This record gives sequence, C-alpha cells and structure tokens, in this order.
Amino acid sequence: MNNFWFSIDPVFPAWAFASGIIPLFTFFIWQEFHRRQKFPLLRIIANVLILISILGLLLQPSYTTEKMEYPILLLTKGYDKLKADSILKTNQKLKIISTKDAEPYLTSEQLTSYNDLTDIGDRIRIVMGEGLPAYALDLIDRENSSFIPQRAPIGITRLIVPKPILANHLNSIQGIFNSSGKTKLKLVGPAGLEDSILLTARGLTSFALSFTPRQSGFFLYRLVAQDSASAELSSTELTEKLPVEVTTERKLQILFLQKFPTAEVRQLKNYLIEQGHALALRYQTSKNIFKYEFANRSQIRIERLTPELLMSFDLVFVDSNVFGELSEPEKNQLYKSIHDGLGVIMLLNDIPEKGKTLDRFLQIGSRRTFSDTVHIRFSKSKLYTLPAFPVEITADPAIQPITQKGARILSGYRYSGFGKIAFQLLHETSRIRLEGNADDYVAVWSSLIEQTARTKNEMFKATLRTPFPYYTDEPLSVEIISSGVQPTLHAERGLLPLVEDVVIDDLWLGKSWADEAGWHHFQIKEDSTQLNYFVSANDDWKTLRLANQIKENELVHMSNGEAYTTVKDYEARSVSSLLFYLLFLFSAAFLWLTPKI
Amino acid sequence: MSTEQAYDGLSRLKRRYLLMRIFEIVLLSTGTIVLTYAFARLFTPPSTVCRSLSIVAGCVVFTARMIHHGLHRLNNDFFTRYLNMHYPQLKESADLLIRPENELTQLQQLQRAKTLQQFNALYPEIKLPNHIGQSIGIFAGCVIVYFALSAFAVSVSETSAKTSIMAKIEVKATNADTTSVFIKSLSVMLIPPSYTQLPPFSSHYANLTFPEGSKVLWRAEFSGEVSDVKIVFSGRDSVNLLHANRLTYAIDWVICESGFYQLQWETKNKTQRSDYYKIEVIKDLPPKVVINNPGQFTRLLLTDNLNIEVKSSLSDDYGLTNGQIIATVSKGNGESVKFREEKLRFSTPGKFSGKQVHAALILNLQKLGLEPGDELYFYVEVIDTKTPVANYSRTETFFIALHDTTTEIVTSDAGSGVDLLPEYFRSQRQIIIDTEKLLREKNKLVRSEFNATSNELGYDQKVLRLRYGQFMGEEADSGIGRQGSKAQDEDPTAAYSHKHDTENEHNLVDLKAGDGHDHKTDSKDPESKEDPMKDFIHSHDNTEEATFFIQTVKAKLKAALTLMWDSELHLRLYEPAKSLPYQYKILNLLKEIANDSRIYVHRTGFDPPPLKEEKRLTAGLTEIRSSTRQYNDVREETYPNIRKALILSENMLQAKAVNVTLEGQGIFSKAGQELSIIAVEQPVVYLRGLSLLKWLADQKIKPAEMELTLIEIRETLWKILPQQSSSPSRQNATRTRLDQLFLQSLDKVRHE
Repeated sequence: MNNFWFSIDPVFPAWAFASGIIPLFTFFIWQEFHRRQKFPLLRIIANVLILISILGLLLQPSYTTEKMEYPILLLTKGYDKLKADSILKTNQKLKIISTKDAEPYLTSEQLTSYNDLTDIGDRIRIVMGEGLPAYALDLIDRENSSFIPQRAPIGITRLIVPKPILANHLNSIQGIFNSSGKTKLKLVGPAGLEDSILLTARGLTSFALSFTPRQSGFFLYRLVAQDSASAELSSTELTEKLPVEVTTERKLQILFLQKFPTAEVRQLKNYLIEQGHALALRYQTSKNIFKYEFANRSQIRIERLTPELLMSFDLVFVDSNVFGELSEPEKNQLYKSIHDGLGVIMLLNDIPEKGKTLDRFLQIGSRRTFSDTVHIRFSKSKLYTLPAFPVEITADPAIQPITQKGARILSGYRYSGFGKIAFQLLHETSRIRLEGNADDYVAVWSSLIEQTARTKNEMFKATLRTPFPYYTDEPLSVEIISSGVQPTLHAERGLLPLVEDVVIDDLWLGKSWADEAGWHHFQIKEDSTQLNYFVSANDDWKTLRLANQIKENELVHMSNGEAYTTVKDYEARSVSSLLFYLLFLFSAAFLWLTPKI
Repeated sequence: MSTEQAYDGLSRLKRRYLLMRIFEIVLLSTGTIVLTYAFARLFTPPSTVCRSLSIVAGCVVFTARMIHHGLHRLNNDFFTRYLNMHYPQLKESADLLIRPENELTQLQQLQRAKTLQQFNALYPEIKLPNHIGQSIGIFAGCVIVYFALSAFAVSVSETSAKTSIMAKIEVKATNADTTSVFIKSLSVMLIPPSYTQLPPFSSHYANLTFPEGSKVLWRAEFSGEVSDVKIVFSGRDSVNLLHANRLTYAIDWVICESGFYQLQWETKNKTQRSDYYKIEVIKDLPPKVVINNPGQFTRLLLTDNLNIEVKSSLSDDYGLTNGQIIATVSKGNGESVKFREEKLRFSTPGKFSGKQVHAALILNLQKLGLEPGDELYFYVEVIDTKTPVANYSRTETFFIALHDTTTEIVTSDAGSGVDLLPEYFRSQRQIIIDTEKLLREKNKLVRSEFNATSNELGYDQKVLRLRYGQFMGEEADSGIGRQGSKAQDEDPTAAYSHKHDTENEHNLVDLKAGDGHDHKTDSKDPESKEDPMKDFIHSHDNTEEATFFIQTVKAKLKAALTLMWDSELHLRLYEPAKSLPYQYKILNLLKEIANDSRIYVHRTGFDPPPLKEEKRLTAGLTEIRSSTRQYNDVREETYPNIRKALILSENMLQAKAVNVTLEGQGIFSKAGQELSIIAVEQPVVYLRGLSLLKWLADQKIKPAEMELTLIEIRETLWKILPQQSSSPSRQNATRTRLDQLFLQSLDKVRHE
C-alpha cells in the first residue's frame, strides 16, 4: 500500500485526457464567453463542475484512511466448539470466520470460497478443525498461525503402497487404521479375498496386508473395513478402492564364472533360466578346457573379462577359486565395472582364510567361527538346517544384510561406487529347491540377486508430491529428478510447465489438475518415462484424505499462535461515482435551464 | 341243557363258521391281489394304478365270496338246517332248539329235550363246511405264480428309460432372436457300461453326470426345419446328429472324459448354438487293497511257525476280477544278492466276484525256498471289472525276514558293493570273539594284563563306533559323553593305541579353544523358545537329515551306536562280561542294517555301463575339449488371451462400460477358446465362466447385468492364472550429478 492520501485509477490513459477532454472543455468555456447569455460566471462554474464530474467518473479517485485489522480465528469443518469458546474467552478481539462446510459459530462470517483467503490470509492466526486443503495453505500466513486439529478420523489414516508392485511377487500394503472397536480389515482382489487382519485395539493401529498379483496391469483392489459386531457395511462408507499398478519383472543379464560345476550353481542356473533371465556360464573342466553355456541369449566370448563384456552384464557370480586365478588387469577391470554399477556375488568354495578373499575383494571384515550350520526359517517356511561357511561378518554399517539369523549375517552386500559386491555364506541351498519348496529357495536367492544386480539407469524419475488419494479439480504436484537434462512433461491434456528448484539442481516441479476419476498418466517425452496415477471419486478415501490434510496443516502452521495483536492499517477508499454523477446532473441542468429563465 | 345253552352253542358254531369262512375268503382275495399284481406288472411298472387294480380285484373276490356264502345274512336257521341235514341223530329236530319253549307242544318239548341231549353229545364233533385247505392251496399257487411272473415284470429302470423320452428340455440358441428355430424338446438317456451293472436312466437336465464309458443318447426335436445338427464336445470335436424324422434328430455316443457340450444347428444359412452344458464323468476308481495280516515288517526265527497267513481286503466301486500276491524271494549278500519272483493266487475265495472281497493265503516260507538270512518281499495286486482296460492297484511292499544268527558282518553296507571298512578295523564279531576269549582266559591272566586287554577291546569298540558314527553324520570327536580336549588328554587308552586315525594328526590346525563352539544365545531369536536346551547341547547339524539312509536304517544305526557306547564303557571299566550282551545286540542290529541295504538294492537297482578296460586309468584327455552349449528355456506366458480378457474386463469395469466393442468381442472369444481347454478338465468350475465369455463375445449381456458379469468373469479368469514363483527383477535408478558428487566425496573420505 502506498503512503499517498489521494490516488486515482484512470479508465483511460493520461494522454487521452490531455489530448481529448481538456481542449474540449476549453472550447466549451470559450463558447460560454461568446454566448452573451445570463449568469455567465455561474455558467462557467457549471462547466467547470461538469468537467470535474466527468474527470471524477473517468479517473476514479480514491483516498486513504486508517483502519483496525483484527486477528482471525478460522473455523473449518469438525472444529471443537468448546475449544473455540476457550480461545475466544482469552482473545476477545479475534474475528471469527468459518468455511462453508463448517458449522456457524455465533457471529462468524462465512468464507464464500478459499479465494477470499487472499485478502484475509495474512490475518489468520488460528485454524481449527480439519484445516485447509493443501492448495489453500499457500494463501495464509504460515509463520504466524497455529492449527488446532480435530480428533483423528475413524478409518484408514495412513497408507503405504509399495512401488513397484511386481507380478508374482509377494507385495505388502501397510498403513495405520484408527479403530473405534474390533475391526476386520480385508484386502479384496479381483479373485476375492487376498488377506485380512483383525484389529482388536481401539485407536491407531498399524496393519499390513499382503497379496501376490498374478497379472500385470491396472487393477482396483478393495480395502474393506468390517465392524466385528456387524456384517459388511455399505460400500460407500467403509469400502475403499485401492488402485494397484502391477508391473512385470525385468530380466537380468547374468554371468557365472565357476572353477567347477556344482549342484548349487546348477539349481540356481536352472531357476534363473526358467524365469527367463539371460545367462552365460563358464566352468573349467580341465586345465585350459572350459565348458560354456549360454541360456536365453546369444553366444559371446567370455574367456576374458573385458570392459565391454562386463558392461553387457548386470550381475556376475564368481567363485573364490576363479577370482583367485583372475589376472591383475581382469581384477582391476572387475573393480572398475563394479564402481560403474555392476553387481558381483561372490560364491565361496572353501572356508576363506583369514584376511584373504573376504577382506580384500569384498572389503568386509570377518572372523572364523565354529558354527558351520544354521537353523533358519524363511518367512512362513519350515525350519531349515543349512550348512553355512563358519565365518562371522563383522558388523559394519556399510553392509546391507539380506539374510540374517539373529545377529549373524548370512548374505548381504555393500556398495562400491555405483555397484555392489555381495556374498552368500549359505551353501547346499539347492536341496530346498529339490525338496520342492520353490518359494523358500526364492527367498534365499531372489532378494540377493535383485538388490545386487546393476540397476537400470533412467534419465528421469517422476513422482507425485501430493499424497494419495488424488481428486478431480485439485492440484497435483509432480516432482522430476533428472540426470542433467531438462524434462518435458506431458499430461493427457497437453504440455505441463516445469520449474527447476531454486536450491537443488535437476529437481523439477510441476502442477496439474485431473478432470475426471480413473487412471491417468504423465509422460516425459525425452525417454518415454511414464508416471501412472489413479484419481479417486470425491467420496472415496475420506478418512485418509482428512488425515493427510490434518497432517499437512500441522506441518505448515508453525507458530504458537500467541501473538494475536490488532494491527493498524490503511485502507484506500474510492470516492463514490454517484457524487460525480449528481454533480454532472445539476451542472448540466443549470446550463440547460439558464437560457429559459 | 337249557334253551339258553343251546343258543349259546349255536352262537359259538356261528362264530367259528364265520371265522373259517372269512379266513378262507381272505386267502382267496389275497391270492387274487397277488395274482392280479403279478399279471399287471407284466405290462406296467409298479404304480398306484397297478396296486389299485390288484386291490379292486381282491375286493371283488372278497365280496363275491361273502355273498356266495351268504355270510351277510347268516342266522341260526342256517345252522339248524345244516345240522338236520348232516346229523341224522338229531332226527330233523334241530330247529326245535331255537324255538321259544312256550310255543312248543308237549310232544315237541319232549323231542326238544331229546334233541338237546343229542346236540350236546354231538357238539364237539360238529364239522362246519369250509374250503380252507383249498384256499391255502390257491393262495400258495398265486404266490408261486407271482414270483414266477415277477421275473418278466417291467423293471423300474426300463420304465424310467422309456419315460425319459417324456423328460423334455427346451433349448434355445444363445445367439437367436425370438423368431429363430429352437429345440422344442431335448431328451437325454444314459446307458452305463454293462460291467457297472447299473440300469439305464434319463437326465432331466441338459447338464449330465454319469459313470465313465456310458453311452449317451440325445434326441432333439426342433420347432422348425433345421440342417447340419451337431453336438460340439468341449469346443473341439463335433458329431452330427442323425435325422430321425422331419423335425427330430438323434445320436448316441460313448463318453469317457469330463467336459462340456453344445448343440449347434443351421437354419436359413445361420448357425445357431445352444448354451454350454457340462459333462461330468464319474470315474471308475481303481480298486482298493489292504493287507490286514501280517505287518509290513515281519521277522521270524527258523524255529517259528513258517506258515504265514496273508489276509487282504479288496474292494472296488463296481466289481473285482482278479487279485494275486506277487512275492519276491531275496537271497545272498552284497554283490551276490539274487531275487526270484513268484505269482501266488489266493486260496480263498476261489474266484473273485463282487465289490468287496476278503482274500487269504497261507504262505509256506519253506516251500518258497526261504532259508535263514533270506527275505520275502510281497505285495498284493488287484484288477477290477472295468473294460476295455481294467483298473489296477497294488499295496506297498511287505517284508518277511528269516533271521540268520550265524552270518558274520564285516561291512557296514553290504548292499553298496563297496567295503567301506579299512583293514585295521576289527569287526563287531571279532570284538565279541576276543571278549569271549578274554573271559575264558581270565583265570590265566594277571589282573593288569586282563585290564589292559579289556581296555584295548574298548578302544577297538570306540574306533568301530566312530567309524559307524561317520555314516550318521557325526563328527569324529563328538558324541555322547565327550567332554572336550581335556578328556582327550586324559584318555587312558592313549598309551595303548597308535593314533593314526585322528583328526589333526600332524598338528596342522591349531587346537580349538574351550569346547570349540559358540553357544552365544540370542534372545531375539524366536526359535530359542522352541528348544530351551539348544544352547546347552552340542549340535552341529541335524544328523537325522544328513545321511543317505532311510529312516528305519538310521534308527537302527543310532541304536547300535548307543549300544557301542555302553559296550565300550564296560570294556573300559574292565568288565568285559557286562559288555558282552551289548555286543550281541550290536551285532544283530548291524546284520539287520546290512539286510536293509539289500532292500535298497532291490528298490533302486542300477546297472552301470561296462567299463572299457583298455581305457581305464589311462588319464587320457585327448577327447575332452572345450564345449559350448546354447539353449533357450524361457517360460512362455500362460493363457495370453485369458490375460488380455482379464485386463479388458478390469478396464470395462473401471470405465463402467455397458457394451463390448468389436475388438473386445474378439478378445473374449479367444479367451473362451483357452478357457474351454481348462473347462474340459473341470467343467463344474469353469462352465459358467465359459458361458459368460460366450455371451460377452455375442453381445448378449444386458447393460444392467454387465457389471456383475464382468466381476464374475474377472474372478474366474484371475483364478485360472497359475501362481508362479517370483523372480528377481532389475530395478530402476536415476543417476544424477548429485549422486556422482556424493560418490566422489565418499571415495575421497574413504581414501583419506
């Protein structure tokens, strides 16, 4: 606000006035001098008044006055009246404003839309109830307001859906349920019930529901909260549609380097080949005589470890004997490839000697133990007794364990540059598969292989900043991490503008609005990266939406809300156009009547 | 006798006569009923009409006979007349007995008194007229005729078969409009195969359930002219129906597999198809056979009764044809083991018939040529009446062993063909002989010499135990009672033995500190709850699972090892006499183990290819070269069209679609083809889904029913998809400049 007491807001530019109106009125006054009629002075004054009134209408003058601005208490839906009473008792100068969906309170004024916050946002000191939606939070003074939330809603208040959800993998949905009593929570898939859990405790309880999708695609599962005392309640209240995007597994390029064939590798090889991974294997059958196998891929030369060869694989299994016989250049090349992203899993043939392979190659501290077997259970499997190399891995934060028995790490990996070096101390695992326990065998190897193998480098990583659920006509924030290239983001409606973060390089932000419920996607044109998301119907996921909103409001309102002072402010008031109109009318009437008098 | 008494006597006569006549008439009436029923059954099945007819005939006879005998108007005059006619002693004066006394003249009264006397004298001898004997004869004749005629009576099944034509099912094409020709009536008769001895029957529904191999007769009557009428079985094979008359087509077909069928016909150049109907075949199950006696493992001494009775229960759902015992006599040891197989027929029953048979045979082991140490393995096999290929079933193998107490066991596993025991081993038999010798010479030996010999034998026993312990996966220095290296240092046998066969013979490995085992407990370990003793016992591995032996052999070997401990204990305590019983038990157990190994040979016999003697041990590698093998074994995606249909149904559900696009119809149609293959195996489960897919492909689903249909289809298709094992998947990552800078900094820090 400027400090001038008077200001104008002209309808036309100033040059238009100068060039048009002033010569015209000069001409009228000049005319009055030459008319030789009665009351010349009064007629000239009337002319001047007409001029002033027209200028007043066209220039729209205003003047500045002082005004008192009171702090505002904003009441949103679900606010606690007793708390509002208490606050008003201690802060009587608070002005009360309520949102449209909130219950009116005494003399509260009502917001017609969240756009009204543009004017009063900086005066809001307290927000009570559910809070404001994320997109309206930008309109209020975040630093000087506090939030008094309502109680957490009954239902799902937090939901974590893993990404990606892979077909034929056991996936687990986790979350928090605010329960009012015994509640059965069920996950229902396309073929019926997938998993269920009985929540007995009242209040916030965490839950996990698992499922194994059999087909890739976009599916709608259902989360059904069933009151233990009654049958399944109506779908609008306690049945939520859970969008699940199931993707297929990506195949790996794997190289096996073995001193001699073993039953262990044979079973592992068979398993990986059956799953469609491309394998190249090298065994030594005699001195200078090797056996090569290529499965699900074309033949290549794998006699020597060259940069090109290692670049073409995602994962290398190498046994300790072969590693020991590698030439120094090959070893250096292997280290370099690991640094660039290659994954290597070391298979031990013998009990490693102290300070040898494990320490030098894996860079993992270890010590000999006498425990050469391990009794282990994989998730819900039976108890297995498996031989394990009598080595104890020294605790190191750099090591990511995959299989553990108590504190003993049986398999794991560590980063080396962009790549990983992994180890497997369990052996004779093939007998798990031979016993027909394929799932347990998968538990031993799948995670280790998946975590160790080279990742697929993508130019962009797109995620939604807005938490699930998403609704129509509400803004969706997209975040893109690029590898140095400026992304071009397309929504279904067209190109979306992106802004790079001021502080963080290669972090791009965009905003979009979905116009109808269902599956939608964003696409980055540079490398066809696609981000799929599901827009829920407005009635869906009410509790989760509310919980998210409350959480977001709690994060935004940082003030303790004690400074509820009244602020003196200045207000620009425009001079009424009616005044100028009446002035014009009187003056014009005088000029019209004068000749007739 | 007074007049009252005379009346009374006549009344009794009347009752007697009535009873006799009624009995006679009832017999005749019943005979008539039976006879009428028997004749009626020649032409009609048992029904209310049949029964009513018989009863009416009986009633007619009953009434006629009642009237004939005048039982309805029976009075005393009848009896006086009868008495006058048949008993002249009464001098035609019997009627005076029933006339009132005051109406009689003097003379009549006198005559009456005489007649009364005569009547009293006659009364017990009075024989009333009847045809009871004749009636019984007629009744018996009727019953005989009834049984004779019932053999020719119309059976229930025939009747139902005949009436099946009347069980009409109306069938309309799924792709028809209101004016299309439809099947006005479809009758289905099912004739099970003769060996099942089940009567033919009709189905009131187009969905059929019948025994395997039944002949099915379809007869379809159409509402108009049609052509090219056929039945399509399981979406693949089709059979044309034969033209029976103008609008009727029929066919009979023998069906052995479950599946489904669909009727198809041509009308005005348009092919019309019915809905799918299931064919559920009740399989003829293989016969069941159980050996009740003897037990699976029987061990006999030569002195026992060598006649073993084998009792077996055999049963089948339709009938048994034959059953026999297949016996194998096993002789010899090690590589010289020989087998002889014999087929033995059960002594009872002589011939197999019926659904349930209890068969028995006494096995004479001597006749079978069993000698001590030999074994007889046998099982019972049975076949049923099924044609053309009978079902076969057999029991597990049962064992009868004739105990041999004379054989000396020197190897641990005679069946393997490899002598695993080194030369310096004393066998258990040898230890027994030495112990017995020591006991015999006890008096001749000085105390110290006796003790030393006993200790040496204890050491031999230990070596044998350790050797056998290795077969069980035990470690050489572990076992019951072992107390660590200290105990080893104090081994009293150290001075008497030459330690070659110990671990770390040349001190190549540092001796283990303490007991050499990490007994650190982990309170977080959930398994620690399962076995509270786990942390306090010495357990390297689960030895139960770590050997090649089957369970019984393992148990025996374990028992032998425990006994060896006891035997050694007493030898070490210089008590060879106490040790000897344990040693005998050990010997017996080891012998049994050897015999078990022989069974193993019988079960998994392997003939290795002959070795070329000239190439043996030459170490020639000239023919060995580097080799390359390439193959593709990618698991192909199962049910591609079902997967497409599943995704389509999900998309349609999400879009709330009420119509199937042309492309969608094609997808559902192809999915239907894939589903039809599965539905053949499980028609009950998938036939509904198949029908729904067909309706979707034909656009036959009403908009209001579309959502429910799609939900049902989605569920069906999802359940079909097999649960595959998960596979590692390559993960995504975005490598930014920030990541690279971070790694560079990390490397720098690491190198510093």
